[in-house]
Amino acid sequence: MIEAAAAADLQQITSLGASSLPSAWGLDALADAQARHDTLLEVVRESGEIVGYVLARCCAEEVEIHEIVIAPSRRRAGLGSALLAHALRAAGRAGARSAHLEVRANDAGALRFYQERRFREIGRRPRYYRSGEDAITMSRKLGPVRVDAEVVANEADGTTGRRLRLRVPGWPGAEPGQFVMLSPGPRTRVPRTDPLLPRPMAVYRTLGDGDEIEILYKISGRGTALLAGAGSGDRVGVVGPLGRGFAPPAEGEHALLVGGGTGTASLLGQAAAVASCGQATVLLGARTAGDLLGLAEFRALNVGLELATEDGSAGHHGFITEPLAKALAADPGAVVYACGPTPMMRAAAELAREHDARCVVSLENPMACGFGVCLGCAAPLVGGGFGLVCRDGPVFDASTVDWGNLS
Amino acid sequence: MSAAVDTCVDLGGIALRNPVLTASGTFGYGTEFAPFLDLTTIGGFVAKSLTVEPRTGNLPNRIHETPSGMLNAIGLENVGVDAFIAEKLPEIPDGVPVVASVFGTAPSEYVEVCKRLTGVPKVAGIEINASCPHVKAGGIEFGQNAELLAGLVRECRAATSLPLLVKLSPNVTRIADMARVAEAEGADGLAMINTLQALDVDLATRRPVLRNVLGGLSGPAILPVALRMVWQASQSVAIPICGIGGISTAEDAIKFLLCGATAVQVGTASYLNPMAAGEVAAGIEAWCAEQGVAAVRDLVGGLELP
Repeated sequence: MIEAAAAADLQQITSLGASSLPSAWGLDALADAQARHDTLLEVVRESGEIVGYVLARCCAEEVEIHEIVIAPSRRRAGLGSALLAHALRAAGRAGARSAHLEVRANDAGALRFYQERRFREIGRRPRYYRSGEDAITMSRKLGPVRVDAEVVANEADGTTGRRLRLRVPGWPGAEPGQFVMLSPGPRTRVPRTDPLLPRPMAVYRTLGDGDEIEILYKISGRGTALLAGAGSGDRVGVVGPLGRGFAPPAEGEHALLVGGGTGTASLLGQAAAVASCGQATVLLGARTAGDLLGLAEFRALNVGLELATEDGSAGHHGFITEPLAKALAADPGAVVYACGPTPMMRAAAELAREHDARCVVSLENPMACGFGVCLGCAAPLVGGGFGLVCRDGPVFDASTVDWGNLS
Repeated sequence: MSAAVDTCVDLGGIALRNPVLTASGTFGYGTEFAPFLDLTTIGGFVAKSLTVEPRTGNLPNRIHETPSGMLNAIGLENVGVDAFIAEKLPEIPDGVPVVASVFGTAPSEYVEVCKRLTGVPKVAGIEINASCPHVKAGGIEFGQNAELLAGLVRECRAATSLPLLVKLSPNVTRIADMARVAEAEGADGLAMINTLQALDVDLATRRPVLRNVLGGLSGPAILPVALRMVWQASQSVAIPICGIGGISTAEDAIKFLLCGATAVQVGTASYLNPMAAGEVAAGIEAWCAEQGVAAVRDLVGGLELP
């Protein structure tokens, strides 16, 4: 649990900082900072001991991340990631639109950590540190945005799916597994009231100079039918990126990524992330060969690819969960990522449980807003209570989901 | 543009910089909108209905899209009044009037929540959500029975010195009667309308689309019904009315003002466009400037009858 540091914690924080950073803040500086309302000093405590902290300061529309320190014995457990995400969310609530930080030029691990979390190198400060080492300055925008995006392209791609490419001014970038809410069809001068609600769609990939996104979709109802009619230059309302995506994969991770139907679109970014630091096999299922989406992009990654169709027109004849069972039996230590129809995700979660494998799913409940206010997308969790698919998900550990009540 | 338009209104003792609030249940606790909307550009907001204890809400499906609207049966999921005061209110910028919506299954629960909110900084007023089943009275909504409503308003009035708005249920035969009851028991204003009770069916399964069977209909589909009810109520009471029901644009809001509303709440539209309330507020001001209206309050009740 992450909580605000108390005055009594400062001594422990200073020691932890000094043990990890050659130029960590001293006790007096920390005490001064903590007294300021624009400073965020939050700690992770385990059995009374502080095992990590984040120190950040908000200034106008920017947040500067000064320090994130994790005790050596607790590293590589996701604490740094959680502290950073916590600080960025708090800064976003306080009105920050971008985040900035400095990293030692020689600290490849830290550079990669921030790059994976959408920070981009923006400059270098020569001999910034007392040791004479350079600092790399990095920054990222804080989402989400609400804009009228411009349709760059919108066409069938030879499958039953379509590709919608949008230019989204101010797009802050998305983590794998995040989504956007799209207006149902192009925006009209007088706001359209029917169909009324925006549609949640996974961000398939980012293109252009980082301000274009591609959406893979199928015409499945009135909203998507209208969307298919949007031509180049038309405007589509976008709110995003939204939700918590997949956590960055562990070094050397083996992953089985299972996609069904348009759920496939949620997995491309994570498949690429696993491929860059571990070993990924992507398993895609559909009714028939023409329903398999995104094959070209998955083939271009350094991943294994297995297909299944219900009519046998491509790959295994049957459900994709059958090849998944075989793959899990061969590599029970693999992490399973699944996104697709609920029965497919439920079956994947069950198979993973049988093999004691970790399974992560990306849920697709209906929702009206996408940012945690309509409460329509609540997913029942094991042990009672709900998680909001839009805010707490869409990515959930499958073992926490109450599959029997998911609808 | 001519001289600046005076957009201030007084909603039963709640001073608003402009007449646009956001409706309870569609705006969370305000913090969710920080990335999209500067809360100081709207009149204020009505927080999600609060109960004495936290509630977790209904099993899915909880929402369903309908022609120009949506059904919901969320089940009044909320963090509880104490967590709202301790954790949510401090996140709201100063100078943003917060109206706390209050809810319970017995009058004593409403009273308890009202008491805990009274005197809390930033809470500018209370809105009584009367569209709640009264458990002891067999589950009929407080707002559907004049005697139940009278008793509820009387007890809440005695429990708080804050400006008290009563949010009326539209699921009644004569809305004006309910408006008069609330006024007689000391309400400072009315908020109307809540959602219309409704049902839709999934033909594939022959089941109701919502797990709760019945839900509340909101969105542009209900706007003309809401306008009618606001107009009827405004003919019957002297206390100010906050108009609610399908407002997405400044034009929609101005119709409510002409039908007798002093202020309005934007609801479902915030789901589609989290900046909607800010755009409605700016649009009303621009419309007034264009039409030569000096003060927004001059529009209230200005409906020209044939």
